[in-house]
Amino acid sequence: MTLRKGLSVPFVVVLLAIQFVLLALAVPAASYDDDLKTEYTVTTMDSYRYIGGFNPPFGANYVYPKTKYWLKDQNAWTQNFYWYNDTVWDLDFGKQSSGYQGLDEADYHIHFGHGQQDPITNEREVALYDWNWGNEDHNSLTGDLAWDEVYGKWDLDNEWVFFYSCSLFNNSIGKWGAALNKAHIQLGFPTTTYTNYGILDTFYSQLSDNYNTIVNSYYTATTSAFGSDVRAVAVADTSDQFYYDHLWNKGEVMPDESPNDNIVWYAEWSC
Amino acid sequence: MNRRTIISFGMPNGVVKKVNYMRNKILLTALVVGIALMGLVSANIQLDRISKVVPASQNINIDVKVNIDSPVVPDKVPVYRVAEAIVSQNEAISIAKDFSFTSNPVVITYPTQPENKSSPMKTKYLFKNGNEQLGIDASSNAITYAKNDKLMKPSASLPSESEAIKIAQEFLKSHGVTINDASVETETIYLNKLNVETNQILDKIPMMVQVKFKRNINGVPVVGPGGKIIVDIGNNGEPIYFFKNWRLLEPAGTSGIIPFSRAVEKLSRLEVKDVPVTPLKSVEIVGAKLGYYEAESTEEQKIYTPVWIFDVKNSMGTERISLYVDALNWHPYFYSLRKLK
Repeated sequence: MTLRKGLSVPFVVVLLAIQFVLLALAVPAASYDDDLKTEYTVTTMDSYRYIGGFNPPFGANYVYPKTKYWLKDQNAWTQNFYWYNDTVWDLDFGKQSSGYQGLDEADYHIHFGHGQQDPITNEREVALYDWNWGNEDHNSLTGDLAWDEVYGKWDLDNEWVFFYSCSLFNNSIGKWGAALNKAHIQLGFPTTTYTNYGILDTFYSQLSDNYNTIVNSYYTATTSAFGSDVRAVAVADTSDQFYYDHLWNKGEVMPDESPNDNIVWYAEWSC
Repeated sequence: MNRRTIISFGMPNGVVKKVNYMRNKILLTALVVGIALMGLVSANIQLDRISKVVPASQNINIDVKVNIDSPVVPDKVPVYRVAEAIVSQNEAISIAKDFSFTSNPVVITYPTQPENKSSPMKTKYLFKNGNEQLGIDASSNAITYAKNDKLMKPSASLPSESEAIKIAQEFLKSHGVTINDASVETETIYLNKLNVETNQILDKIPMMVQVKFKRNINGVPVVGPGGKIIVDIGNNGEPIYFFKNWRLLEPAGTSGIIPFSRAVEKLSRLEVKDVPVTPLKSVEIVGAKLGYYEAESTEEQKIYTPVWIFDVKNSMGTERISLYVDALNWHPYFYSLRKLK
């Protein structure tokens, strides 16, 4: 049997097999980026309507420019969005299951801003612009972000989220960790943390210059940036992601977990 | 019978073409309008995102409750100057030889404020040897050494925490690092397997023992990101991570310090060395003492300044927070100019 102009079926099968082998060699065996684009997003909070912020701005002056410098300028990543202060919405944290999915449409997200216990619900949450000691409107775009709003929601493109906020993971590792549906790793703090000018340079340099893993880079960055009263935590969806995930194009990235097993893997340490 | 046949029923051929043309035009218009509407919705989202916050200097006032007696402190305290200069590449190569790195480093320079064109640049020297890395911060001579394939990985045989201290001390000795005045903390770091529905830890996999030496100067604690050495001990007692931010100091005379009451005032305005990333409404001081502050490894610190160390309870939670207020009654710049007698 021939197809066209003497192309025999065995010949086509051999061609397809060669193509398959070439593709298998070209695509990393461990995993692949969901949309084949390396993208990041940033949200920072320096000002709030009802509570004290950061003056001079720390998020706008350091967290955003340093992230942009290391990821976009040095490593050619694409910035999907940068929102700050009253332009940060709870929707940006990937709380929707369809339509706009915020951080879940990019590989990496970093958020800087106050984290604390809601005095009314006693839950640890991210304070947005209108946060007001628990009296904010929980349904408002700019009130707060609680763990139950993102429970099981990160199932699209996101791999890594860094919450540069105080004590979000205090007795809440499982609650926030549950957001990792197909996303890989959360980085944060179970205790108070502080503004620090070097942590992001160390973190991103470890990832991109040293080809270090996400968790190793975070350990190196946090132990060099903070005193021992600060504790840091890394929460991964699978143990392989915890041990081996690197930034895209800087080493291997482990596969997304599927199906979601409601198990997370975490380690915490004194800085 | 298809749709076209129905429309054309009883109509001349030219009319059918016109009807088809009109129908296509309507569909096309609907499509264009639809896309335009979607664009408008999207544009509205963007328009709504214009910040209405006018950046202004915020006066932060925290209600500070003092629940302790005013600490008794000396009138004057010693001040120290950092005796090391910026580390050159040749000096970095020499340090690296102690850790058996023989190749030249990758020199990483980066701006401290990337969007500021006149931003100071920082330099790091990075040595690599397979999975081992050695990083040296030129600004502080801080050293980070790691076996990256073993850091934060499962360890079948970890030493006890007391054994780990001895191994860490041997490691420091073998690299010429002497510690005269320090306290020691240890922590075994595990990878925990957690069920998020039940919040039950199902397994704990040991990874390494962290041994931390915290600096004192004549018994006075050093706080902040620096003033510490970490040695992590992994499988079979192997040192797998070493971090040292411990600047070499020389005396620079003595200085008067601001009184406790003034330090409390500064605390109430949150004039602190490192600002906590949590809102503070009111705090209760449960401890206060003097100490020294050592900056992070990326910073070029010239003077070791005394600070008031406040141990506070945040009224909104149960956590204790450490806040550091500059205690020097001179500007540190003047101390950097003083000659050593």
